[in-house]
Amino acid sequence: MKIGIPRALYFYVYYPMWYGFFSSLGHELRLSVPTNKEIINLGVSHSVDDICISVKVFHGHVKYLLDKKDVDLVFVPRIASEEKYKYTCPKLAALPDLMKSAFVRDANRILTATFYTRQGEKPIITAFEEIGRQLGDSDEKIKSAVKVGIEYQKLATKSLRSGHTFLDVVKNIRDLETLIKKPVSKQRYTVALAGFPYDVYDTFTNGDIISKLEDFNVGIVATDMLNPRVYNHYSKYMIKDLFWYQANAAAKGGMYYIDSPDVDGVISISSFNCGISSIYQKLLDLYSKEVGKPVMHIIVDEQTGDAGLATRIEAFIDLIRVKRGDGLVTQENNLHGTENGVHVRSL
Amino acid sequence: MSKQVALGIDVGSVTTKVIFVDENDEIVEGLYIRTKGNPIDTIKSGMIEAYNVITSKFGDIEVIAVGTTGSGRQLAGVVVGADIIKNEISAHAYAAIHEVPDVSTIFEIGGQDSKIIFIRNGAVTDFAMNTVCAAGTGSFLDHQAERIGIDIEKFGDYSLRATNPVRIAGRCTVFAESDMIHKQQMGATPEDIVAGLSESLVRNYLNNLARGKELLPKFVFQGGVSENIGIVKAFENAVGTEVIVPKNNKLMGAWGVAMLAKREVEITGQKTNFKGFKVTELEHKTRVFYCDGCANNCEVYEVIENGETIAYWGDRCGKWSNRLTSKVRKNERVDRKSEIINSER
Repeated sequence: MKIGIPRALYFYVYYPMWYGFFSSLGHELRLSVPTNKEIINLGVSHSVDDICISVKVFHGHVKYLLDKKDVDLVFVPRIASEEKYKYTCPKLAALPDLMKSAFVRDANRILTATFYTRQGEKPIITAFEEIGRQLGDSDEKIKSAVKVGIEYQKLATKSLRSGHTFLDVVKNIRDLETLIKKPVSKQRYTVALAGFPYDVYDTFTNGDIISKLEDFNVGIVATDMLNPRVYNHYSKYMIKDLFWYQANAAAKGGMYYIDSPDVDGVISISSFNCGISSIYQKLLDLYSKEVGKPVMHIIVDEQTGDAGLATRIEAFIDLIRVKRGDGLVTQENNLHGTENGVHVRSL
Repeated sequence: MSKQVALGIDVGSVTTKVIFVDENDEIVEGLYIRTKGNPIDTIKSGMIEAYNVITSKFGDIEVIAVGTTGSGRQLAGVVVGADIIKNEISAHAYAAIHEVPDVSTIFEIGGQDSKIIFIRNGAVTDFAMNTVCAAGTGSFLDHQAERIGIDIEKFGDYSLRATNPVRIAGRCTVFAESDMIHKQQMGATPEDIVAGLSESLVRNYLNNLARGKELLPKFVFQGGVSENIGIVKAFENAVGTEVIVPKNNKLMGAWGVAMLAKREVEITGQKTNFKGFKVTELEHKTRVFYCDGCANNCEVYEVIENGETIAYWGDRCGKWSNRLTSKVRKNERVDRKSEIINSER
């Protein structure tokens, strides 16, 4: 079978597991292309009006895959819970239903199962068994495939913990062992990105914040690189935990980075009209006020003009530079303009 | 010896500012012009005008550094040959700190965006820009002044004459406008409406941008809208203390970037990239095309000087802009080489 995987939402968390599972069963995977204008247009025109851009983009990816003739089924898992007593955003928990109602004619091509990834491997095995049976695979094969999937996920987590972004993980999915060993080069400045992985890593939707920062020789860390154990104690700064694992990761991970001496500033990335984002942004604001580390919020929507974003990022980097005592002028690559051929010094 | 000056250009969405600063970092000449549809023409005519004024004042001048800022900073930077291209937040803050060293909060409202900048100990510690809409910026005031039929320059005086400002919804320009029309049909005077608008604008600004952050004096208010005495008064009412409007309130961005350009050239010790006032004679064209390299169909902007492309931007992957970097670098090297040869002669 040829299975389409939309490159959106939980793709940016569980892709390694899915990759391991499906390829070990011998199914061919078709990833949708990274988000582009066409995908956004598809998504916006096939989704309801008042959901966040991230879910709209997901619609676009699913439609893109459904339109492909060589894709038999599109995998839309329902990730219900990732931690005890924590559930995902209702829109994400309802994804398979949303897709089936948005693409009624192709509803039977949506491949789904409900995942509880919180209580060890058993519920994961159950969910994958459901999927494997729909694909006509034997229980035995499914069992070993799940093991492979979980192994991939563990390797991916290891890569993240060693400082590689999830984009690197996707790129090196076939050889994560090597990626783990590859050292991450240290830059003069480090900026932490706090937010849901799908907002942080969807480079088209967020105006490619990662590359913009890298152009200024800024190193990147993100909240999904952290082991929850290092930030769980930040619960005491919140009245109680948020109800969603990813929101907690963004909030507490952000706080951890605010405290971290290796991080110069924190940028939170979220999509416009995401309710829970407004809460963790406020939490980060309050915490940064106590500690005095710069925090900036980038809220993304359908816009593609990025003058405003460039201004904010440049100003944020200026702020960090001044804080480190480097001043506003003269560095080898001080401007974004270098790239555009505006301001190139002879070497 | 000819007078040495640094040039600062701030290409905003509504107005363009061209200024010269002297060796003491003082503005010796400043121009404030509407950007209209064509920023390149505006920059050029501004430069000619500024050049004429300054040469009639000081005779011969020598431009030692050039900086550009504002939303059109890239474009201005390639056209004139800038030494530094700086975002407007840093440029504005730099000038404000220069003018009022112990400033803590800067309000800046321009044509299409508004910013708040927090300064502690002479360094920017935080900033915010308006996010999704342009409510309460210069363009909106312009539009409303036109609709009511009063001169934008007199807007401030109107609101000072108000006896009983009406309350206007400031959250969104569409609602603000319908609110204003409603109040005017109910019989409110233009003075009260204008004053109400100023208050709502300030309220909206502080709610949106300051968002519970600590507002400490001294306050500096700059940008085109700071010309409006009614808004200044509304700010003073809101924060409960004096709000300083610096003497170059409309030119702060250009001033800041001119000073930064001077610092840049001083530190690097390199000759300015400034192409000279002859750029006004060169022909500049811009072209927008859709790249069909991938499904993104990026809008790519191309700047053409005398038939030769000098800049690309807008491509997300760098397919076009990278292509050029090497070329520009080559040209620049050739330039520098020929300069050395010429100077050796």
